[in-house]
Amino acid sequence: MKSRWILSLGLLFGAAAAHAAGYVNLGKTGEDVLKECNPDNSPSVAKCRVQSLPGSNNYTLVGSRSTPIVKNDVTVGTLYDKVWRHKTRPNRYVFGMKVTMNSNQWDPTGLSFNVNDLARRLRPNAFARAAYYLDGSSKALIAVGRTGLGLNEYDEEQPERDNTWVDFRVDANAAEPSGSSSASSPWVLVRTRAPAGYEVHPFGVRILNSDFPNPSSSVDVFVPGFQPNGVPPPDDDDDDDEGDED
Amino acid sequence: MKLGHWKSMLVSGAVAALCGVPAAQAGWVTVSDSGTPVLSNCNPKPFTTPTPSACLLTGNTLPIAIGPNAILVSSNSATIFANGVDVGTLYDRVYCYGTGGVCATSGTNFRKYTIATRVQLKPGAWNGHSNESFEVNDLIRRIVSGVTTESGYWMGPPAAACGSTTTTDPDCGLANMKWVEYTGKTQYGLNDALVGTRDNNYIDHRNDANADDPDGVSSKWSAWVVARQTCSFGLESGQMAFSIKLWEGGEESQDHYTQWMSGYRCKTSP
Repeated sequence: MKSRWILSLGLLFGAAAAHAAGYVNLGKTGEDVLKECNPDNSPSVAKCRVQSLPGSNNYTLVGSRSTPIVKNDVTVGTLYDKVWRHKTRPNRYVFGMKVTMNSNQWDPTGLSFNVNDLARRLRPNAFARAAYYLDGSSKALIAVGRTGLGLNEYDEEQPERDNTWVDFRVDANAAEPSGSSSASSPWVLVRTRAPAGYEVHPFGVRILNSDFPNPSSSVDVFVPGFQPNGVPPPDDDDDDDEGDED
Repeated sequence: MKLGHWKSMLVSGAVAALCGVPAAQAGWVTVSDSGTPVLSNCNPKPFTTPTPSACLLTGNTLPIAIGPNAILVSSNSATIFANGVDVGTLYDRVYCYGTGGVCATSGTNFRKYTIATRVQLKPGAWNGHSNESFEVNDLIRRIVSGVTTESGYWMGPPAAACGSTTTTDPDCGLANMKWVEYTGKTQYGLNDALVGTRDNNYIDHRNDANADDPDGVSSKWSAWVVARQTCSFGLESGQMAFSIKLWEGGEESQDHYTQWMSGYRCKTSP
């Protein structure tokens, strides 16, 4: 009897470890770039999920803004962007964002704007841990990883690693052509190191709509967003690794 | 004529023969409504000099180039915003044909319209992928399907008649050594996965406009690209949304990008 209890407890903890709630380490090396969170949108799956903003203790909100998402001169939604700073370790920040979309027509197809990925830049040598908070969204974070490539932008099973980006795979749409719709994404969060603080970069956030049979139909929109200072220009990287310590 | 000119003309002629496109014809070309090729050759890269006459319209002004007896019906300009950045200006015009400043009310020119499009672009970064400036590889716009369409382009006026590659005046702007390469009924431009696929609801002009082109030859002005049709039901009143598509096809590895803009178009029903 006692051994059965121990086995049951072991299985329980094992399962919990495999699907741990809260922030996941995105790492900086290896081909396993995208980490699955809740690809089937199952309420029982807690991996990557936190229950409040920003989902880590001892952080204080230091920045908050919103900006319209405009494509083809049509406002298709709003980006909400926040940044928190650690109270005692001031180089640590959490950058969080979510979108709320509308059903305005923005191209000749008449379909509403679909968001498949939300991405932002990071300092490539700093650690990155990611999570999400549903906050009313009916669709969980699907996956997250350090890459600049979103849905249908790569041919292999995993996208190419690019530690200057963190990409969150979501599914936000005010009027899905089929299936259920969630106009809002969850809050998608990344905890990282930013010794030089942060800025609002004019192209700080990438919003990707790429679920098309013709890959050339993919659309991305860049909007201003918070970004750690010290992010290198595109295609520029250095090797000054800062370790994985949070 | 230099040997290089002969070689390029021979190559162009061979390509045209292979594609079943008539060799250089003067001015307007009638683009195909069925079969292949969808795109007609104008002056494909590598550019041929002297400029082939196919699609090429000439004159001191746009109305003269598309004339005779062209009359401006409507005109508009609009800022092109990409990711909130002002990357240039789109010019959109419609001309009819008539006499005494009045569009024809009968005869072959009745409800015959030329829609004209050009862009003037600015240098500078406009997205988070690179610091490259905005490039337009294809100017694509809605037309009426099932109606014969003539297509052409006008580079701008000669220098003696105000032509300038640096001016900001759309009537004097001269496209800098970037001729229209192809034209045809499709909405899929350079390097699109469906490039060259027929869509008779659209007319495409392949034209490499970029104020800071990585290829080393920058032209902030596109040519004025024009398409002429008889619109049985006349014109829509005012500009219609999503009528003009500006396509960046990544000629120098830039990202694919579509910008839809409002534009004039024919009615498709009474």
